[in-house]
Amino acid sequence: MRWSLALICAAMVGCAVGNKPCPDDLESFEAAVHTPVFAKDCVLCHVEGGAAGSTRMVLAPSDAPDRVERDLATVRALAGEVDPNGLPLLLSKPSGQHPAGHGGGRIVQVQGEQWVALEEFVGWSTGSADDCDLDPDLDAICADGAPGPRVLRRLTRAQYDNSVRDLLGVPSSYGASFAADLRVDGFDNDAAALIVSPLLADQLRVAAESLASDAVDSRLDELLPCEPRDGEATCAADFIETFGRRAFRRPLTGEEVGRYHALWRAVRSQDGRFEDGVEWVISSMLQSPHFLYRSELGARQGEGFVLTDYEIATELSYLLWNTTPSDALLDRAARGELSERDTVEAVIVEMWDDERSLAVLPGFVDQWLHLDQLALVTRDPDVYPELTRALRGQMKGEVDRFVAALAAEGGTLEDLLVDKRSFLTRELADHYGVSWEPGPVDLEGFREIDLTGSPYGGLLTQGALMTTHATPTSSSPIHRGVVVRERLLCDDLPPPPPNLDTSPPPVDPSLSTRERFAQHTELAECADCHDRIDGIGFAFEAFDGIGRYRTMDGQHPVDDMGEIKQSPSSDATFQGVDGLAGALLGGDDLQRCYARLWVRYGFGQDHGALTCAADDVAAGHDQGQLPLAEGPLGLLRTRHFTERTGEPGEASVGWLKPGERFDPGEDPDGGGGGDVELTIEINNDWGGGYCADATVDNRSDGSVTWSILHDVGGNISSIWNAKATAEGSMVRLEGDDWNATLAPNEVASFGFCVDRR
Amino acid sequence: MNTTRRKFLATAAGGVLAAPFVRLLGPTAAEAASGQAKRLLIFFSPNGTIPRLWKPTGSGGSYRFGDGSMLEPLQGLEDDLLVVGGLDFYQATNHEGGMGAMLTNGTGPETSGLSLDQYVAAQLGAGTRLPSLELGVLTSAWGGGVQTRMSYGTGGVLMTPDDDPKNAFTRMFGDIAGGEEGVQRLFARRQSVLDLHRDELRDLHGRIGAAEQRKLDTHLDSLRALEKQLEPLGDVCEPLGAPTGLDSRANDQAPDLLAAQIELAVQALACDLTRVASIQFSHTVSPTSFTWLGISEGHHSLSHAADGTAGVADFVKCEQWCAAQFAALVQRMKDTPDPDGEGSLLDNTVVVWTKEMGDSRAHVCTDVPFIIAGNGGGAFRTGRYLDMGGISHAHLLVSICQALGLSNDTFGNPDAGRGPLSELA
Repeated sequence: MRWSLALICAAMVGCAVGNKPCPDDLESFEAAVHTPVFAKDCVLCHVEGGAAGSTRMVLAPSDAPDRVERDLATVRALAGEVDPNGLPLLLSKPSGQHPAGHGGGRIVQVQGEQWVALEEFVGWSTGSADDCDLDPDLDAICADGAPGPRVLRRLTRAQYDNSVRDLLGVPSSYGASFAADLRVDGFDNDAAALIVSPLLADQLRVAAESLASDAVDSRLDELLPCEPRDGEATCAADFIETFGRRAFRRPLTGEEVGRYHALWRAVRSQDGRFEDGVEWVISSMLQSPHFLYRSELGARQGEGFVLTDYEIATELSYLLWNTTPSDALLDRAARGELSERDTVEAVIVEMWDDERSLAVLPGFVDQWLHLDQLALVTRDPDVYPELTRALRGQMKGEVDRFVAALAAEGGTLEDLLVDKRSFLTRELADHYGVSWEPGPVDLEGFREIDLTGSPYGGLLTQGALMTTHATPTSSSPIHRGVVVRERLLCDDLPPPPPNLDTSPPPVDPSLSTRERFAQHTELAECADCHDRIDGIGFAFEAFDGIGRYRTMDGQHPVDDMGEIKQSPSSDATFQGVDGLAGALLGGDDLQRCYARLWVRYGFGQDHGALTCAADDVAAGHDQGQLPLAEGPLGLLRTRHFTERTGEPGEASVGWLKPGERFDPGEDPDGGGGGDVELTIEINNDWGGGYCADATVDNRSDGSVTWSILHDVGGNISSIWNAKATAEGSMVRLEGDDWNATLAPNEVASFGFCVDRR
Repeated sequence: MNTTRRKFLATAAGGVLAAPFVRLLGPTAAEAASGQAKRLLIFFSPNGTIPRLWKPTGSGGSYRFGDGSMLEPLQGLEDDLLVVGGLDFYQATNHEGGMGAMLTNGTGPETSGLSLDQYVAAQLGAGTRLPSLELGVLTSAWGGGVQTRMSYGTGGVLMTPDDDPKNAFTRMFGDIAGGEEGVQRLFARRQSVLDLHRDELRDLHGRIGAAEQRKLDTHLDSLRALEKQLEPLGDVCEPLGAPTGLDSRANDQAPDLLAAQIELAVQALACDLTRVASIQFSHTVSPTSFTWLGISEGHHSLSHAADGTAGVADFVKCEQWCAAQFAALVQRMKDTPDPDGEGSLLDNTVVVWTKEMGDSRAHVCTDVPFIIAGNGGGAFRTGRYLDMGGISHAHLLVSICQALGLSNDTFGNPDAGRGPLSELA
């Protein structure tokens, strides 16, 4: 449908679709889309003879006089096409979301400025836009600080383990072994990428069953809020309410308590033990969507949605502590303290001051600078026998302690890059060649060391960064230049074009590393990108492939003159890492980039308007003076902290009204009388019918083959683990072969569904 | 939860399931010649190739794998193989493009972006315990992404391979034995848990936007797959042992991990637990070091080594090792009877070794090497080396589908070309 509209519109100049005019406005195309997107990034490959020269999008060469016109015709012909997910091709390809990939990788950020421009263009070309305004008015979006859309955020693998530990009081390493999630922008917590795949569903089931079993075996007394002997059914309901509130991070409705209570009762009746039922309730809750997904859905308020107090508690807890909210925090949510600006400020300060927040910065830095790969990067043991597994662990330990300490004492981005203190082990100090003063060390052998007078100081000199970004046999100006370019300046680079020999230059003792790597910038095809990369990477040449300081590279004196080019505000030439740090701190890019990536990481989405929010955070401080803590804490001052957007058809979360309190009913083996007792628990009622779990309990002293006439209020549409025969308006219920005859106190469980007459 | 009711014989560390778990193929077993294959097994190894060191000598029905070539370990299996060169990926290039296009050929009206295994599984997988089985070796250290995944499900969902043989074993056989009342009860409970979560997901579904609904649809699909595992399987086969003592994240254990996954894939097919299996060894831009061959440089770096360097010699060694693993897989399929009692497993299965690029040094997806093992129930004529001279690999994907009895005429982007590779028959 859209496709044909596009063709019609592309073929006719100034045509109209419905009442919407589509003027053939070359100028606005050039300004809004061509210059910032197609002519900037796409044309590098999408040009005759280029890497994407055989695709359907071949743009005109940059010196063609009718370039803009030709390009408009080319891209407009594609504007109506959608990928299998219904996303326009012009959005899904460059953003790397197309199922078949994009040869050039991910060029455009979802909901970023280029995305918005392309989206407007597609709308314009296909006649689906409200008007033909091609100018994505980001200023307007920024001015009103619009929040991002409502989302369900599946727990990351680490959050699963932390949450289980806090819920059950038993350690979990299951999450760490779950199927790896799609990484987006280097982060493992993108809301759109975190799904429950078939493999993960299976892993979650195995983990939940095993964890529930362990918890009931070892910690049942602590988990129960009541004494089962005072009334099992009531105690089970109490447990479901209290544990459920912690697992789902909000109170359960009466109906929800009823669902889990029916599960408890069925298991209790079959297995005969109170705790067996509890075990299945725990196992089931750990697989529930209400546990697995953090709700950021909120309640409708006007055109938008406002997060509930419980959702705010959840957001705060996972952002600052990376785990499920504590009982105390949930209590505050219950009192409405988190949706009030005055009271929530105090809560945030208190949570930030708690030692559980110490892991926030290390967790971010780990993924920010790809240090999570440090344990895995390949290093040739013949070239670097010193790099043991233990030493890698200590490098990681240094970064963790360094950034946590800085964040806690109000350290800034400048401190992150230039601070002359660090935390080293004896072995790491020896590795760096810095002097080690004996003194007290922490449990893992680290102590704070003053590095004044040594070439070390600041994150950029630390072994973790230098070792992660190197080749198996040498330092690598390219790897180091790329990480600075992409992660400190937020300038994403396209992958190398095909048909080029991109093999790293072989080790050649007659050349220095710098000389070997310098050769490829001489090739024209490589120069554009490597201009942006190598000058930065060369500044690290005084640090070898495992982070040791050196003045000689083999037989060549180290040359660590560096240069930043093609950056909006940080261009400079300098010497060494200290000079690079100075250049980075002298521009705005680093600070903006840090704030932007925190938005990405903290909110798990990258909506265009959120970028503006990040810029606001960065702009409030002089260059380099943004406190590291403002990464997470700055997020809590944006509208997105408490608000979300949604479409008109979307509705508030379903648990706002608790409904009637659940009545736990009689104990399975209490009350009674008579030979056999039938208990029916309706677990799903849609008006026109219902489904129920039922038990038959033999209360007599002898064996009984049961047969019960009962009015179910309709016709049985399905029944399992028992048989049903209609007798007038009643139904006769009898056991299957294996549960027809019950010993004293034995219970048969079955279920059925009924269509009401 | 008392789910561990059976005692498997644990094999020694190293995890290879040594003993045959089903009867070996007897001398009287008949050749199957139904003209149609029943099963599909995909084997992947990364980082392209160096064409001149890969190509067999000779052509057509008289070819051989040269001494010292990357495929030397396949010597002796020539009659079972159909070596196909000269196939290009349409509109795809480089590591990531190749990984995405290899099993999809982009997208089109017929396949909607599904990869070959998922497309086939959607049509052949409904009756089996697992619609498809994705096994991997060292595929996930970089997380999921276009570099690390080759299999695509509905809506572009990445199908994550299971890197842990022990876990895969449990999914395959975990609860089917011991069919006592206890198991019946356990399954009934799991069923009620699934039903409960389905209700919860449906409650949520109606309140949220389209993108979030898709997320819950995926979740519901996953629950359906779990439900499938609650169906009794019968007495098709008896597994002998679960792989033990393996660390699925350890580079140096790659040989044992791959051997275990090969064995599991063969078991899954031989027990008819699935009709579609894949084994993904590492991923494109693989950093795996073949340390067990005494090579410390990463595989990706070696794949780009310039001619005349030691790196090329090491790359050839790595590729020969991969070829030897493929040879072992083919031999294992030959030695295992088909569960339907007709011929060997290999006789009724399309086994295909795929790569994501052609010449690794040029980062191109032209002249990408493919090797088919087994005659696909008579659909393919093995014992030949064909050079297709540069047509789209879409034709090969169509051929494989048709060998499996499907009727599609295109695979992925129809612009790449229609119809099968008639030369294969």
